[in-house]
Amino acid sequence: MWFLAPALLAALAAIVIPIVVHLVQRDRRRVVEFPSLMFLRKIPNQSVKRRAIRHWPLLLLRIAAFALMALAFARPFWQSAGAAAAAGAGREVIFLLDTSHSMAYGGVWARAQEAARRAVGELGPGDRGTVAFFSSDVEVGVLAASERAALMAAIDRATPGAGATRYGPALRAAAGLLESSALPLKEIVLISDFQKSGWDREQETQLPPGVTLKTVPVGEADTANASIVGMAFARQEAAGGERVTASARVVNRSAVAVEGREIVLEVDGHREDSRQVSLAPGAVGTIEFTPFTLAGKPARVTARLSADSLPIDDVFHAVIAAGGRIPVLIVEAANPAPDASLYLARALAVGNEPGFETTVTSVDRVTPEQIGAASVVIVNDTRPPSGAAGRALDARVRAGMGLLVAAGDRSSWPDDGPDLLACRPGEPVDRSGTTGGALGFVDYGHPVFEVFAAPRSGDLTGARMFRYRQCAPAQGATVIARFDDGAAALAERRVDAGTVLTWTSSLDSYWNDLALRPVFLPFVHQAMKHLGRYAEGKAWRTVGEVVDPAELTRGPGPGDRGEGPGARDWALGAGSVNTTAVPLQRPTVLAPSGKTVEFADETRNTFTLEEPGFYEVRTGGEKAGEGAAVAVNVSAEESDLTLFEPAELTAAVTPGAGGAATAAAQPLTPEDYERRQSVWWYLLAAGVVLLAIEALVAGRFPRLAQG
Amino acid sequence: MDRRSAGTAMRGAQFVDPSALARMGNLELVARTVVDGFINGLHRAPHMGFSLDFAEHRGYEPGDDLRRVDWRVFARTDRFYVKQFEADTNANCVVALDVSTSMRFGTGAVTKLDYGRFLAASLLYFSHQQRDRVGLVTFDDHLLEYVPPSARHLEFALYALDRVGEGKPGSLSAPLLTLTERLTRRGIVILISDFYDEPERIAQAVRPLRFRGHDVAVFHVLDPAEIDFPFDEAASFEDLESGDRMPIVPEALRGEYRALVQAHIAELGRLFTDSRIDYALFNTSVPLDHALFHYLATRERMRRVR
Repeated sequence: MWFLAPALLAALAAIVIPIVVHLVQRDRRRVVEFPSLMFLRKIPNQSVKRRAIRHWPLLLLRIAAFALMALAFARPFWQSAGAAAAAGAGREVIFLLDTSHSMAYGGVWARAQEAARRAVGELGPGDRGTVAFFSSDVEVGVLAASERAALMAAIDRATPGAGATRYGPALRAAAGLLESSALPLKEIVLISDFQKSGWDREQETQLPPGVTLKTVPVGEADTANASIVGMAFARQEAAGGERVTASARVVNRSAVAVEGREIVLEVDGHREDSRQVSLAPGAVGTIEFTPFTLAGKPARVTARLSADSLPIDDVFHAVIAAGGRIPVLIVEAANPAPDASLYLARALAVGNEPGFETTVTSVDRVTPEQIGAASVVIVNDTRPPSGAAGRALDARVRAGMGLLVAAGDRSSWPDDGPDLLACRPGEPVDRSGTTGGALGFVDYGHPVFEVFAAPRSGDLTGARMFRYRQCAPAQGATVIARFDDGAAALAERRVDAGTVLTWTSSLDSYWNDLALRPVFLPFVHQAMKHLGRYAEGKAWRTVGEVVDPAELTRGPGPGDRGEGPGARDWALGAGSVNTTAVPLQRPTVLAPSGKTVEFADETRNTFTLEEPGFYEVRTGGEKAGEGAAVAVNVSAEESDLTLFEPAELTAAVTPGAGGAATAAAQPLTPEDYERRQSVWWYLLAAGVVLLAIEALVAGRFPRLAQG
Repeated sequence: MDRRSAGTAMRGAQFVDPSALARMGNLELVARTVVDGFINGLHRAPHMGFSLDFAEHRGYEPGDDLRRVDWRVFARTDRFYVKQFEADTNANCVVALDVSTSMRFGTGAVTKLDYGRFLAASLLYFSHQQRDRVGLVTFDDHLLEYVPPSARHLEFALYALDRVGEGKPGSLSAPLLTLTERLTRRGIVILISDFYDEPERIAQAVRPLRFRGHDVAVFHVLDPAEIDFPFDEAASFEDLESGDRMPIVPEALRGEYRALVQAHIAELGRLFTDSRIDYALFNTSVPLDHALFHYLATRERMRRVR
């Protein structure tokens, strides 16, 4: 039964009126003068006896009349679902049990299991239940079963995992399961600690009409949890490799201070260093460890904080490899200007993530071998190489190499030269008579310029452009930067697998002052990384991510052309769907627990990271420990145990007011509405009848009325 | 007529209903009605009880009635001596009437105050008939009217009784202390009140009169409703003196109330008896003659022990 005007139920408080009248008012109505109350005051328990209610039937009559009239004005009506229940119809109940890693805190999981068992125990004979476990994804334990034993067994077997709480996908999955049910009553029982981080209010999750959401919070309000949420590695070139200084970021997400907890750094399983951590409530601290040397193969790094009530987030894993270096070949004119490549070479000499191996040669001396060893070739203000070197250049670019052509004063590109240019430079435009031109349009979405997109991250338009060449974009080329007069400044063209950029001015200080600007260095670095197809390797990933082994094994540096240091020679299914009948060559992936990962997708070598620790990806010939390592950590958001009000979730996802789903699957006719609401007439009539009886009794027996 | 017990005397008395007395209005008439009826019932024995008791001899003085000369003593001593009897000794008889607010309660035709006035008037009239000097005191928390004892003050006393006005909440200590100081000559003091106070405090207030040598009789006047608590309906009970109100369900409290009242009466009786103070309870529904019988019995007993 529901009410059209539930606020009027507050009128039920009026039932105290007859009680008060019975207790108080009837005494005040008659006043008896008495010589002295001396003896009456001496009588013990006087208040109880003085206020004893007499004539209970009359009092009950009055209370019942008030209650019935209050209920009548609240306009009760019957739900169709309620009617179905009354007719003995069953319920389809989805028991959503949170198995995110935060449920392992203290006694939360035990309470969650107990609540789930209790909810299953409430299933009726005609009901069906589904037990589903959710964190960042949803797993069905038992589907649409009537046997409580099976549902209970699934609950008993479950344990908290390493995933993060995500209520939206879980509720959508539960609603999907309910859609196929033919039972009239549909209900979701959500058992969780109701972490604030698990509810994304931007996701507009809505349960279908007729589905009731019941929330069972089992979380603890007062929690104490410190966790490692990230690591950073500062590298320094040193003899024999890199000196790496690791630091761990520790967050205390509780109202209790962390005092003197030990944090240990392990590299490849060996204890390298330890520190003591003390943090105030709600504070964040960075713990820096003693540097260690990184040489050769990637290292498995673990920071381990002494365990608290939620140990899973007290450990943090990372894999770091020596930084990759991109070989860059600068080809300049046979008689170059004195500083034609000076700024370019200096800019490429800076930095080690990645570093650049720069070789400068002249166009008449460049060899095919030099071109073959480079990932990026810069034709800097000169003509293209001719002969074998020219052919090698053409072939390598089409095979995937990057090419940057700077069209300065000495540049030229013969018509019979390789067809690689993004735009063919024309006559110079001289704007030196004025204050010079400037870049007027920059495509900040392009990888070359994306680092300048944010405010105060570099102003490319500040550079003065005194001379540049007019340039008509080639077929398929894209202009990603233009001067303020609309002329192309930088154009890009894909030539088969390779990428070509054409800069229509010089890269020295003759035709512009870009090389003198702070933005020059990041501009050059971004261009080289883009052309060299450099991909930063991730030091760690998060539980729940779906990954491709090809990405994992590529590592930092130019790799996916089969030339870089991290390249693999086995075929991968990454990049596009393999539609051929040739079966995939699967790597062997071992989870941190030692289990072999099963690939769920037959067409792709992708798998989901489900455990924190180090995954190992092995090719056919590799032994244990030789495979590429992937560090996986739990979500840092999940470590924030702040709770939110379940009613907020219910109100957000349930259509209709009051958090209760209306059973409006079928449109109701006016007759249906009237029939369901007609009960208020009967209540009102009953109340009036009771009042009439009361008046009769009280009038006929005045002494009763006084009571 | 020999003195006889009150119980024997009552058989012939013509009892007058207090409600009938209330309709008379004139206190003297009331007193006369009561006393004369009472005496008629006793076959006119005005000296009953104490008037023939020999007290002492004294020398004859001119003007003395020769009938009172003790001739036997004259025969032995050759001197005239006159026999003196107790009845011939004029006594002070002072009635102290409580006129506090609580005395204005009454469920029948007469209030406790009316009953007290009738009783006081009757006692004064009767005492006057016995040639006692009569006086009157009315009080609430202090003395309101004081008519000194005198053989000629009956009218004043009755007049004072007749014009008893609105009283205030009462108290015994202060007015009785004042009265004790004013009554320098020993006599009979009759105290009429409803005694709404702790028994020990009441006794403490009355004892000084006894200590001064007065013969003290205490008449406790209560309405039947104060004794039986016959109320049925729940109501707010208002204290006539303090004005306080209290919600009461009488039927739930009746038994305990009656027990407390009876305990109060019993305790008053015990305390007064211990102090050789005569105590009697009067129900306003009972005829006044009973009070007179009690008074006479008291006086007789007092004479015996003197």
